[in-house]
Amino acid sequence: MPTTRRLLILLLLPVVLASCAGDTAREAARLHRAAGSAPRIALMPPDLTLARLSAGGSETPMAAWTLAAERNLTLALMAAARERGLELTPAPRSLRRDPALQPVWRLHRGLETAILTHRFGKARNRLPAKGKASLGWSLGLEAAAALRRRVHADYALFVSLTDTYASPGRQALGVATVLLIGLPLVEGGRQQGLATLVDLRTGAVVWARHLDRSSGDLREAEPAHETAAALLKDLPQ
Amino acid sequence: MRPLASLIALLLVVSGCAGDLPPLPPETRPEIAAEEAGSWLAADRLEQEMAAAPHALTNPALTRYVQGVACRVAGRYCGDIRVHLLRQPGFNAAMAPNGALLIQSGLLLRLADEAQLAAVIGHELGHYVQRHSFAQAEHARRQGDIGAWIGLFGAALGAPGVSDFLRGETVLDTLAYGRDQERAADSFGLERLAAAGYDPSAAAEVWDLVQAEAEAGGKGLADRLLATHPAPAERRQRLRQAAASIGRDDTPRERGLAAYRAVLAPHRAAFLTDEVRLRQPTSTLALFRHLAERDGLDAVLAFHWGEVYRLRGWQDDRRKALATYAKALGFADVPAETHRSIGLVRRALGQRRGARFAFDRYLEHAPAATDRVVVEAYIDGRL
Repeated sequence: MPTTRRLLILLLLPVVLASCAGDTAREAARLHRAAGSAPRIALMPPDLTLARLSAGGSETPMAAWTLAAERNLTLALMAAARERGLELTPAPRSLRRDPALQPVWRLHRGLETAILTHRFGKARNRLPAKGKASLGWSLGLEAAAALRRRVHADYALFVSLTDTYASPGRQALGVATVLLIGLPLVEGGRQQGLATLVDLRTGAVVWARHLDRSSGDLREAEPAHETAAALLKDLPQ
Repeated sequence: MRPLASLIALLLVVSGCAGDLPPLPPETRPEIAAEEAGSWLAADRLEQEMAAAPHALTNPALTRYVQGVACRVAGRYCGDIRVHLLRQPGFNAAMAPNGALLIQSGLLLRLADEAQLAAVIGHELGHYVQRHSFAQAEHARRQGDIGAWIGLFGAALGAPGVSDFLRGETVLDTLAYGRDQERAADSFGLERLAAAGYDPSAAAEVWDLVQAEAEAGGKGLADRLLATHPAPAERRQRLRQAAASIGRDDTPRERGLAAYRAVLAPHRAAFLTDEVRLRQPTSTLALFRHLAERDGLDAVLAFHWGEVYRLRGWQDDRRKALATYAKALGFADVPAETHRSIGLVRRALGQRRGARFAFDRYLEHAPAATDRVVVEAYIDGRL
């Protein structure tokens, strides 16, 4: 019996570890600013998808949740930044539709993919030069200047996040699996996100934080604060 | 094992039957709380990006024309359908759940007239009105749910093979479901086509085109299309019979040939170039042969036809290319690039004088050519 229990703990350990996973890379602990003033940081309209996870594991994107989360997370991020002594200025949602900025969004999405793969991804995909204190990715001067002209800030904070929530059917399947097989093999919802801070003078990504965990809820205003705090942990000041 | 298998089959059938949704009324968006709104939101975002995509074909006249045909076919759904043209070779069109209709330029190149374009749009409109994207996703979700439960019980009862059996059944069932949707979209499209006053036989003709391209050994988009659509033979047969039953003697049978050709004419050379650049010579040659048989050979088509041979470069291809360029030279409106290509082929054959003559004529016809410096170097023998 003790052997079984030890085995169970071993099996559960990765689940527990994964549930609180968050990782940061930052190039500087301090942001540059004009003498005597705070750094100006524009919060880009967050790129969110909230979906319901069915029993079989298919994801149904939920519009109402997604739109509520955009509002909840924007407010929560502003509050979390304020606690760290920083003011975020949210950029209007219409910026995402601006035809002139489409290449910039596309480029930034490419950067996100690269950062997720080569800095926060599987060990075999990580690049040795991309460590805790060096990111070495840049949007480039041109894209940074285009963005800076629109938002009039020194930095741009980007947040992309997908968040899934287990449906009642999936929860029931999870319980039934534990009862019948004795192992928690059915995964619940996951919150996976990436926040990046871009220096708009140079285009350099100066800070990035990755979340991948089985907690967090953006559908309501109150719990969104916890996600915002988890995202902005270690943000330079 | 056998009772279990029957149970699974029964569950799959039951889940398949639940798939029909009521048609979407005109000028309607799903309620924001509805599950369907999620796929609309995702499609809205994609559409935003699509409008600024590098391969978006933003020609106002062409877009207005296709949108006009779409409106005529769509009737009361006119305001729900937004046409997006893509500069992309190959034979395909797609409907997003939110009414964004994507049409590849390769499709416009292949169709003969407005009636065929209307047939394609009618079919895609069927997918939109009958909410096929969402129905398909829901169908897959239900199957996955049932599969998860059966897999659990199978594992608990010590029959893990159940999951594998189930996976196979699910794939087959999903394909069958997709084909049913295609048939439903066909019927819907045919009705709209006839109601809009177009010749209903145009629908079957579009499938003749797909079939012809697939038979010519095309490893391109026609193949991918056939993987998800019912067998064209069956489909053409059904569309032809249905068209015959719709058509009475007094039914209008508009083709819109002249309007279609006129609006496509300024873009035809570019669309032909896209096909050549695919570097799929076997299917491209079949396509060009078909276009020549149907619409007659012209200078632009002959030039591009020669380009396929020149770029393929098989044993006899240089000779074939020169023979085809010669046909292009027989037309008054021969593209200047034909002379350059003749020069390149002759140069490769070591025919220096012939090459120089052709390059001279190229610069004569295209004095502002951007590659002038290079061509002059060819003429001087510096390169």
